[in-house]
Amino acid sequence: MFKDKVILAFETSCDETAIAIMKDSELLVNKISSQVDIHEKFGGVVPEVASRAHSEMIRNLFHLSLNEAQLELSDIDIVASTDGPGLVGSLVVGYNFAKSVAWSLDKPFLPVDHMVGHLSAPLIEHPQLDPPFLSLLVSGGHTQIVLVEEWGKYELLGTTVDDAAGEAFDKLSRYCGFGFPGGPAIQKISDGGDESKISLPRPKTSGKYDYSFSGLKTAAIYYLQDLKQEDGVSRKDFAASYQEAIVDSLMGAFSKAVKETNIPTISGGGGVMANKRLREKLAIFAKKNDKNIYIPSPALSTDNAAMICSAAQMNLTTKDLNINDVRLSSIIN
Amino acid sequence: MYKLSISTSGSYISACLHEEKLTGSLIFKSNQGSTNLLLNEINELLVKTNVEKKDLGAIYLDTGPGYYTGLRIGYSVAQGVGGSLGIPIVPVNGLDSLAFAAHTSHRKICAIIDIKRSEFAFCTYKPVPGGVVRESEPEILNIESLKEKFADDNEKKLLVGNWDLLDENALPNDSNTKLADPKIVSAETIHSVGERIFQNNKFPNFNEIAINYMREPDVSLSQTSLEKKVEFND
Ligand SMILES: [Zn+2]
Repeated sequence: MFKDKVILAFETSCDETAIAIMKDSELLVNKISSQVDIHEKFGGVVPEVASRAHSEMIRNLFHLSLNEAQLELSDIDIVASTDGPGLVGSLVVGYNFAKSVAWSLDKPFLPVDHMVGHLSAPLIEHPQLDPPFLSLLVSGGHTQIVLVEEWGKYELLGTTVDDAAGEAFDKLSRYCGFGFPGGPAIQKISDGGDESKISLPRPKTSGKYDYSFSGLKTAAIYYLQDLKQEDGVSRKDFAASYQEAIVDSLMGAFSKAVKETNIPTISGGGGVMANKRLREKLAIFAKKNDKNIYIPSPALSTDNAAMICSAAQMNLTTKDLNINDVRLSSIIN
Repeated sequence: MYKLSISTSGSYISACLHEEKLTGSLIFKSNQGSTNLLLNEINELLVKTNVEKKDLGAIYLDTGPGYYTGLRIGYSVAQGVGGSLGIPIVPVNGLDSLAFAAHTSHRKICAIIDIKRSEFAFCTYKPVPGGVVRESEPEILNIESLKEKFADDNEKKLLVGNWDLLDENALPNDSNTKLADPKIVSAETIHSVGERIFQNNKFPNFNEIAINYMREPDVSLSQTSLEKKVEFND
């Protein structure tokens, strides 16, 4: 544990260049230079575009972060960085930059798994989060139910057999021209819509707690192909129904896992965890079943470097952890 | 004050240190997933030569053209070290470094660097006293256009760089052409050019240093091809 240290962390596994600084468990800086504008015109993250943007941004962001924290380089005790999983061309930028900073300053370098970052993100706002707990990690790159037996000991109970939940949002949003990223776009359009207007499937899998989203996506696309204006379906009704189908699916396997494992605490993370409807349903479920619930605020649910600080502070590095299950199942490309 | 030169644009990862003259040099074959190789190599170089980080005064960086991931590793390490030690980074074009290494020749110099997908970065130079000057701007050529380029040119010339990666039938087979060293961009070829730029004080600020990709990024997703007209009633 490095509770009284100044930790500088980097996260560049996908399309956000992120840097955070934590001092005495307090988050001083949490900077995210999003590339959403760049990728929006392509309707998705283009790996080569993402890598280039990371290189262009990282050093400026580094100096800005130190300035904002009003720290000197010599104040830094530990440097951490995501070392995977993610887009390789993006990871190498943050990882090499971070490691070079650590080397130059003669400070320890801690490589952190991106998924472990998400698992430890809730600690920033909810330091009382204590294993065992079940976490629902949902984003454009991963959809997992992870049992945290103790810090450093994880079991992957369920994962998606095809698309990630965030991909299901992105693909439909692209199809409908709603915008990128799909999750926030669909959430916005669904505001005030009737989520029961259109009946869409809640796909089941053979795996006990596994997910599948490609059937839902296909069903929705078939539905839209046949849709006629006189059917009277509005954008917001469709968006609300589709969102509801994803959220229901996510809640299905997760609530089953929570009940069957009888774990007292639930948590979550990833970009899709910023979804309002999912957060509402999780909160209701926790209350009904008398579970503790510690979900990071939306800004700490989506990819960020504060979560890498949080994992580094707990010394949850990839060096000595058995986290193969978590890593291998979540490689983005 | 020591100068650290690094090159990661091709199949080798190299680093060297110079004070007045060469202090030490390391070169390793790059392999897939060799993310840690460059920084480990720099560390080993400093340990072996007994040079301390605080004695580094500048970094001469190979900014390509070449392999993208390698270039980004070199760039990230240079920016990380440069930013933390507070020392300048001098960007050096790999083609320029190859030509400069052959500047004592009296022939025209053609520098070639592999940039994968059967394409090569290419530039021609004229030797002048003490150095070389570009005759053209660097361009990307595939094997066919390289062949044409050579066929149209009967000047006496020297080929440097990755010519050994070209098929034999792509290489000009005439008495005007000499195949020469260096065959690869290395930290040492980068140093020679970097040192001149550094001494002339004509290098950019860190945030103006760009990697010479020479190609626009591949974009496999296209909004227009995926977006369908959906008949909502609003
Ligand atoms: Zn993530």
